Order: sequence, then C-alpha cells, then structure tokens
Amino acid sequence: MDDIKILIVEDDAIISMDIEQRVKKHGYIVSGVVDRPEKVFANVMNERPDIILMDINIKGDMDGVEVAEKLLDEFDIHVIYITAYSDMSMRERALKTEPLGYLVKPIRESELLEMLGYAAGKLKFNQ
Amino acid sequence: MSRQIEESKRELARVMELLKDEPRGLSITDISRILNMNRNSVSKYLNMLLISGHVDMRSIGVAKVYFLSHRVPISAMLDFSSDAILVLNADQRIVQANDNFLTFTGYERDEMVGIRLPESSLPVVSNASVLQSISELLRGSGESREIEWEDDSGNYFFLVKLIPTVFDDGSPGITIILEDVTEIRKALRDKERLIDEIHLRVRNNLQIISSLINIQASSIEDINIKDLLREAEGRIIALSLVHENLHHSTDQQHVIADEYLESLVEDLRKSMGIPVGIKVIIAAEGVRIPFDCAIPFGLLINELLTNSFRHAFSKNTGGIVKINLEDDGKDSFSLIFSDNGKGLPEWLDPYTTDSLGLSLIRNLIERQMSGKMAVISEKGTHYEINFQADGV
Repeated sequence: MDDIKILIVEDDAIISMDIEQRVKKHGYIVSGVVDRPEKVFANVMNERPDIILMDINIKGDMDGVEVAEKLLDEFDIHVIYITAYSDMSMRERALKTEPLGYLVKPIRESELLEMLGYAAGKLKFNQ
Repeated sequence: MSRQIEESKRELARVMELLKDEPRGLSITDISRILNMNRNSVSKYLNMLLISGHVDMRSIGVAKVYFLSHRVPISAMLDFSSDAILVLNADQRIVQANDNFLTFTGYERDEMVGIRLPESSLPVVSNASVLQSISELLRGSGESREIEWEDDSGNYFFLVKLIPTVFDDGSPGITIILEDVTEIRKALRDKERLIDEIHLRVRNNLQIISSLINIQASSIEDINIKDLLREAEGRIIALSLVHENLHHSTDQQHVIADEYLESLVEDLRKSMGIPVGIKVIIAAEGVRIPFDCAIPFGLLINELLTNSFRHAFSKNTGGIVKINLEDDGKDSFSLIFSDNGKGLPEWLDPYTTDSLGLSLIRNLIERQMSGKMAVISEKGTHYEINFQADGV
C-alpha cells in the first residue's frame, strides 16, 4: 500500500480517534480529521487525499451528502460514507453522489478494511 | 278554499302550541285525545309539520312520538363551524359559502355565489381530484368521501369532505367541508422526525461506546485483555443491531427475528473471522419479538453464538449451528439453539458457572425474560429456552 492518504470527516471526537487509529494501524496515512464542510474543501485542496471517509451528520450549513455532491462535481472525488443513518431515504440520497461505499455505524473493522481495500484497488486501477 | 287554509293554519298552530309544553313528545293518540281532534286529522297535520321541518318524530318501541324540532337555521350553523364550508348545486355553482370559507379565500359573498367551481381558481377545492369526486358524487355514484390535500411545499394540509346534499326541490348538490389539518399533520411529522433523530442518537452513542472500548484495546499489549475488550465491543454491536432492526420494522415496536438473526450471524462471522465451513441454519420465519424483550433477546443470541463459534469447533473443521425460534402465542416464545460441536467441558455446570458468557445467558433468561433454560451437552450443545414477553 504505497502512501494512500485518507481524510476523515467526523464531528464526534471519540469516533474520529477510533477511525483514525484503525486506518493508521493498517498502514494508511491520515491527511486530516475535520468536522465541517469548509475544512473538508481546504483539506482536499491542500492535501489531496485519495480517500474520504464521510459522516453525514456534520457541523456547518451543509450535510455530508451535500459536501459529497460538491466533491463529486468539482473534484471528481467519490467518498465512502460512514454514518448512523440506516434508513432507505437517506441511503438513496447518498447513493446519488456515487459513493464507493456506505457503511452504517457502528463500524465493524473488517467491513471498513474491506471497503478501504476496494477503494485503494480502484485508485491503483485508475492511475 | 281560503277558509280551509285558515282553518288548517289554526289547527297546525294548536298542535304546535300543545307540543311546545311537551318537550318529551306526544303520540298521535295523545294529541287526538287532548285536542279532541280525530286521529286522521292529527296525522295529516303532523305530516305537514314534519315536512316543513317544524316537528320531528322519534320511534319509541312501537309508538311514534312527535315533538317540536330543535332546528337551527342552516346558515347560522355553517358560520358557527370552525371549518370552511361551501355548498354547490347540481350545476356545480356555489350557492352558499360560510364566513370561514370567505375569510380563507378572501372573496366577498356576492362575488362568490353563482361561480361554477370548475371554472373558479379557488384554492384546494378546485383541484383536479376534488373536482372529479364532485362530478362522480353528483352523478349519484358513491357516498360521502374524504380527500387529503397537501400543497407542493408540504406546508399546508387540508381534509376535504364531500357530502351529497339534496335541496328543498329535490335537486342534488354537494356540501364541501374543508378542514385545516395543517397543525396536526405538522405535529405528526415533527414527532416522526424526532423518533428518527432519537434512533440516530442511540446508534451514535453506541458507536461512541464501541469506539472508546476500541481505542482502549489498541493501547493494550496483553492478548487476553485485548480479547476481552473485543468481546465487550461485540456485545455493544449486538445491541446496536437490535436498535437498527427495531427502527426498520414497520411499527418500530418489534424486531423481525429472522432478519435480526441473519445480521447478527453475518456480523459475528466477520468480526470473529468464522470459517465458511461453519454453517448457521436459522428457522424463525414470521416471528416478531416485542420491544421489551428485544434487547435481552439480542444479547442472549449474541452470547450463544459467540460461545459456539469460539468453543464448539476445533480449527478448520466444519460444523452446524441451528437456531430455531417459534412464537407460541400469548407473548411466549420457544428457542432451540444447538451446535454439533464438542459440547461443554465435563467440569462446567452451565446452571452454576460464573463464566461471563454463560451467566449472562442464564441471567438474561431468568431475570429479564421470565424464562427457563435446559442445557443438554452430549454430541454438541443443545439449549432449550422458553421466554415470555411482558406484553405492553
């Protein structure tokens, strides 16, 4: 795994620490942990992360799906959602932003790793 | 001729005068006796008064009792109602509108009366589905009906009631009652949103607990302690699956047992790295576990499965776990859980052991689920469990 950078968008500190620790343990680099839309875009421009783990319920005036929509339109980035929303209507809204995955909290490490492996494979293929 | 009319007017007045003093009503015989009038005449006058609406009739047993009607002029009644009301004739022209309807639309009464509804641009009532129902009702098909109306922005809700009406001359018409249900619908919607929000918070909080345990586990070297913490995390996940399943069941009051069991098995498989050679067969079709029992049931199954997965099978051999759940009616359930592994160790008494897994199993059943368990450990381990939901 050659230096894949992950941006974690999560407004709960403890959950973000957990995700950060889990992905670092498996050799990924964390480009940042942010809790609101403007910080997402700043990190995307400055750090160019390869993968974005996106919570839906975040701080600020856009929710995670709206941020993902903008990321898709302006940067051609496909996010991976990690959210406590498991209802169909939110899932459908989120799927319109063509995400690489949609994980429902609580996070299962095996599921997260599988998803990251898939995303990393896709990145390699596109390069 | 005019003498006759004068006379019947006088007689009608006498009948009404008499009834005025008898609020509980009188029969034809009573009236005939008191007024000293023959029964046929009494009957004729009462019929005239019935038709004109001055008198009402009620049957008490076989007797018919007549009394003065307590009618309120219809227009006063309409204005008294808190709903907006409109009356149409057979031509769908507005013949009457109450004050509320005028306030609602901003029209003057003179402007409104006489307009044909289909050509008007009145809010709510001139919408296509309402108009269609009106013409169906005017053609005589069907009875009163209710139509729910919602504006495009979802900010206003009305209940439109259409009532077939007959005018004095016998011609058909429609009374339209427009009830503003915006407040109640909004309150209902807010409540639904709040429930969703609470489910979300519950899951988020469970995630925080699971994250805390996980962060702590990662700083520990000792593999045994690490395992214990993982186990604790697994229990939290079992809980959170119950909540997820509850939220998705149609009434949010029951857990759909087979869906829950599938997702729990799937989850444990992944988190514990269970080889595919170990099969889990679930038979619980159509069983719904009531809310009060769902959490202990979820934890119970989690412990049973974890035990089987961890201890029953030696590495790299296959095995079968069977979960059979039946609803016995009256909120009671029977669960048979078995594996064909190596059985419990000889020295372990499942009824008294203080190993956490088994004492959780025992106490969940006995202390929380009003249940009993029997354990048979020979070729594999076999649990027969009966439990009872409280019935809310």
